Parts: sequence; structure tokens; C-alpha cells
Amino acid sequence: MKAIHFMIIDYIKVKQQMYFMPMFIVIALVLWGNGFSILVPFSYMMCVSLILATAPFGTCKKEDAGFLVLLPSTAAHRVIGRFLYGMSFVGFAVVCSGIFIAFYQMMEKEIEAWTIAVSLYLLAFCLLMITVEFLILYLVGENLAPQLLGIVRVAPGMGSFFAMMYIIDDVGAMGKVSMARDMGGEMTQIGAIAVAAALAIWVAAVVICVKVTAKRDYV
Amino acid sequence: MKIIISNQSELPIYAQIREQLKEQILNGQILEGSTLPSIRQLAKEVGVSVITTTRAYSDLETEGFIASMQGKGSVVLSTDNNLLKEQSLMRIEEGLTTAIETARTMGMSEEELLHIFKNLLER
Amino acid sequence: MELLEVKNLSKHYKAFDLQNINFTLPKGYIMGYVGPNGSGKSTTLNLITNICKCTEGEIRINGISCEEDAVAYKEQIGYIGDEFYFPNNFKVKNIRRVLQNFYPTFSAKKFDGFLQRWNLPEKKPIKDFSRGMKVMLMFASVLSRDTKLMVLDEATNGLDPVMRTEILQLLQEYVMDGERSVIFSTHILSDLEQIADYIYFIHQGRTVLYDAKDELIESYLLVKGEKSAVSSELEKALIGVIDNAYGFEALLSSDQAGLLGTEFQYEKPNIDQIVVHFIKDGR
Repeated sequence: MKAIHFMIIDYIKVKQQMYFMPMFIVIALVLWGNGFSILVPFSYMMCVSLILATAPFGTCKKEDAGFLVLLPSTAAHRVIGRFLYGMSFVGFAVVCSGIFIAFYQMMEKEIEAWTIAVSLYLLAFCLLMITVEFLILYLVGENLAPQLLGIVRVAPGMGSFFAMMYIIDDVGAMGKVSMARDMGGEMTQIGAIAVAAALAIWVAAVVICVKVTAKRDYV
Repeated sequence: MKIIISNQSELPIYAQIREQLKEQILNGQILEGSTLPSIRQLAKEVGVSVITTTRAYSDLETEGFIASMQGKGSVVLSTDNNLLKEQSLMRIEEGLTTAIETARTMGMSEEELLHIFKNLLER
Repeated sequence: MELLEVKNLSKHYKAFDLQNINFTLPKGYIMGYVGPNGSGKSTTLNLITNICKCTEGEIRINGISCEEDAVAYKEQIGYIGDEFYFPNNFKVKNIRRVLQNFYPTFSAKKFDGFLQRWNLPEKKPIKDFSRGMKVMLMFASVLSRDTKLMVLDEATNGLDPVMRTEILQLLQEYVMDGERSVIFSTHILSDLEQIADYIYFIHQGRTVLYDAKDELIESYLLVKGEKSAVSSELEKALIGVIDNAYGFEALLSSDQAGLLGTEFQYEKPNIDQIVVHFIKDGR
């Protein structure tokens, strides 16, 4: 419960950035409406999540410790709260994607199995990215200059998005779609395993970060 | 009850409190049987530390001016109780002894000394 | 009964060491934690609040250490920092919400009462508050719940005398029931002069003096006189001699008052003078 309360604190800390959320959704819809594959808005939402998920790190100040660290809690509560906050954006992106798919079906367009499989890879990749980012920010974040911190926060999300665009284009262009279509069922299974593995790594990262912060000052 | 602390005074703060309370008990401004404010209450009102007021009260207690009673706080004792009387008696004897000794070293007679004493009493 | 126990506390930094701090603070008393800038006052208080982690040592509040039970330990502490510690974009209502979430004893009614009493506007962004308002907001957040130990780090810095007096009264009110204690660091020693029961004085991370304030003031004399009249025996006994063109000023332990001849003047020192001469002495 205390971890959830810390998650709420993070939301309050970055609420100004939250106001952009509807705009991001609109952009995603526009991208989709322009005839791109459904994977484009997916990867766009993932990219946005990646950037917003690390926003509280940018607002951390030493002075705030007098309030936040003193709230009756352990390092575990605080770290888990931050991780849950990050995860909530991935969850949000997944829910948005679900809604897109629901719309898709309402318009009676067929969703190919391979699209689902690629979405799962995308999700697994996104989880992994978030985990790596959190690890970096927790392990060395306090020593980074603000500009560098900004790059660490934003670059992975942007990079992933453009990489995805390229891959999606590539997959379409090279006619590998049919191949992917043939092995659709298997691919989805592998995708699910990838997501599960990414989640396991995420949990391991939480444990590591709790251990590290327990000995740190001001966190 | 009235307590005024002076930072210029040579007396330490606890002694200032003690002396002012003593004076008011002796001249009847603080009545016998009345309860003094608690140590902490007084510390807060006067703006001094708790240790300071504790010391003032414990001094007053050993000198027999007040007694701390369970659940009632510090109660002002009768100023003619035995301990106080004894102490006053001792002080009077001390003073007179000094006077007598001085008179003897000067070779003053008993009559002369009594005369001075009577004169002083009539003042 | 001891409320706060600090044993063999040390913290090592690259450029600074806090070494072997030891004290206890009984229930219902106020301790002033004194020292020049950079002497380790904030470091000690940060260790007590567990904002920073000690290299060695042990801290207990009401017998509980933070390692044993961080939640119970921290619930007992009310901390007022030298810097405003609420996140920049928080509003008063956000603070109220967070306090409510975390502290079982928090009373929103009391909190609102304090806001009103000190004219703290609900709507104004807290980052635009004046220094005085910021301090009072921190006090409101601490006093609206049940705490046992108030930790203040230079809380009266930058406040006008009226406000300082109000805060000192608040602290005395806080310890009135004899169950709660205050430790506060400051370099404005007049704040301490009256209300502190104990003084802990550190310099360059080491303990210099630690005693009940009244004892401390009575244990020393402030001696003034001409340098030429000082015997070699007296010279050894004098603490932190400060010379000027016409004479000197120094501290002397009261039980060595016998060394003083009539050519010297002496008086009761205040805490300020004790601190200045001890720092001068470099012990």
C-alpha cells in the first residue's frame, strides 16, 4: 500500500507532464488514421510511455528527501513505488492498444495473428528498455548532469520508436509478412514468453535497486 | 504570582526564579496551600529551560517553602513550619554571635551591647 | 527514560568525517545542537532522520532503531529542514493528501487549523511562499500528527525575531507534556540561550562540549584583563584567549577561579562566548 502511495506522489510530481497525455493519444490516432499499420500507433504509445515513465527522476531534488525519505517507509516501498509508476505507463500503453484493436474489430477489419505477435515483442522490448533505464537511473542517476539525465531518459524511447518504424517498413517491403503469417501461432507463443521473461528481469531489477538504495543517502 | 527574568543579573536564572518566588511566599502574595504552576508550565510561560525551573523548585523544596505532592503538583507550605523556623533561628543566632564576638574583641560591656540591641529593635 | 539515544555515531565522507557522536536526550527536554557552519550539525540530524545512512553507530528513538522497524521509527519523527522540502510543484492539498496517506495519526482538521492560524493560503503555489510561510507550512505538517521527537535543522534561519519567538514557544509547548523531546541545530545561539536544556557542541565533526546548559554556563567564567598580569599557571588554564590592543578575554573553568587575582575581571559567560572561545582554542 505504501508503495502505491509513493506511486501517487510520483504522479503528483510530474502532473504537468501528464497534461500532454491526451495530445499523445491524438497523435497516435492520427498516425493510425493515416493508414499506417496498427503497429505504428502501438510503438508510438510505447515510446511516449518510456519517456514519461522516467519523468520523476528528472524532478528529484536532494532537499525533497526531508519530506519523501522521512515518510514512514523503507527503501523497498520507495523503490517499488517508482517502479510501479513506470510500469503503469506500460500498462496504459497496453490498454490503449487494446482499445485500438477493439475499434479495429468493430470496423470489421481483420487483425492478423502476426500483428499480435509483433506487438508482444514490442511490449517485451519496451519492458526491457524501461528496466534498463531504471537500473541506470538508480545506479548512476544521481551523478549524472541534468543534460545527460535528459538524454538517458528520452533517447531510448525515441530510438526505439524510429527503430520500430524502420523494422515495420522493412517487414512489409521485403515480403516477409507471408512467412510471418505462416508461423503466426508459434510467433505469438514466443512473444508471450518474451514478455514473461522481460517481467522476470523487471522484478530482478527491483530487487537490485532496493538493495542499492537501502545504503544510499537522500533516497 | 510574578516572575521577571533579567539577563543582566549576576544571579543565574534558576536563582532569580527561586528568590522571587521565596519573596512572594514570605510576604504573602502567594498564599499558603496554593499550587504553583507545574515545572513545565512555568518553563514555557517564562521562556526558560525545564532544567532551570526544576532546579528552582527543588531548591525551594529543600528550603521548606514548597512540597511536591503526587497528583497535586507543588504546594506552598506554611512559612511557620518547623524547618523554616529552625533555619531562621540559626541565621539569627549566627548574626548575633558575630555581633557579640565583635563587641568582645572591642572590649564592650554587656550593658552597652544590650543598649545597642534595644535601640535597633525600636527603630 | 531516554527518548533519543545516539551511540558511537560516525559518518565518513571524502572531505569530511563526523566522528564518534554520543548522547542521550531524555523525554520532555530540548537539546540545542551547536557548532559553526560545516561542523557536522546537519549531517548528524540527517543521520537521526535516516535521510543519510551512518557509517558506524546506532540511533534509537524510544528504543526503536530504523534498521529494526523503519516505519515505526520514522512515524515518531517530525522534521523541519533548513531547506523547504516539499516538492516544488506540490500544492497544499497535495501535501495534505500525502500526509493522510502515510500517517495514521494525521488530522486534516488540525492541519487546516494551523493553515488558518498562520495565514497560509491554500491556493497559492507553495514555491511562491515566503521563507516564513514555508517554515510555518513545515511546522503545520509536523504538528498536525502525533510525533515524539522534533528534529529542527536551522529552522529559525532567515526568520524575523517575532517569528523566532513564536517558534521557540511552539517548541516549549511541544515538550510540555513531558513525553516529547526536541533536538535543534542552530548557529543563532540566542535562540538556545533560554529554552535549551542540553547543549551539544561539535566542531569539525568532533564533540567539544556536551552538558546541561545551566551546568555549562556555571562551569566557566569569562575572564578579562591585561595580558602581562597572567601567570604561567593561569595561562595554561585559560581557554581560547582572544587578544586585543588593551587586554585579553578568555574562558576559565570555574573550579580554577582561585588562580585569578584582583587585577582580573570575570563574569558569567553566555553560550555564544563559550562557543567562540572553545572554537578559538581549537580543542
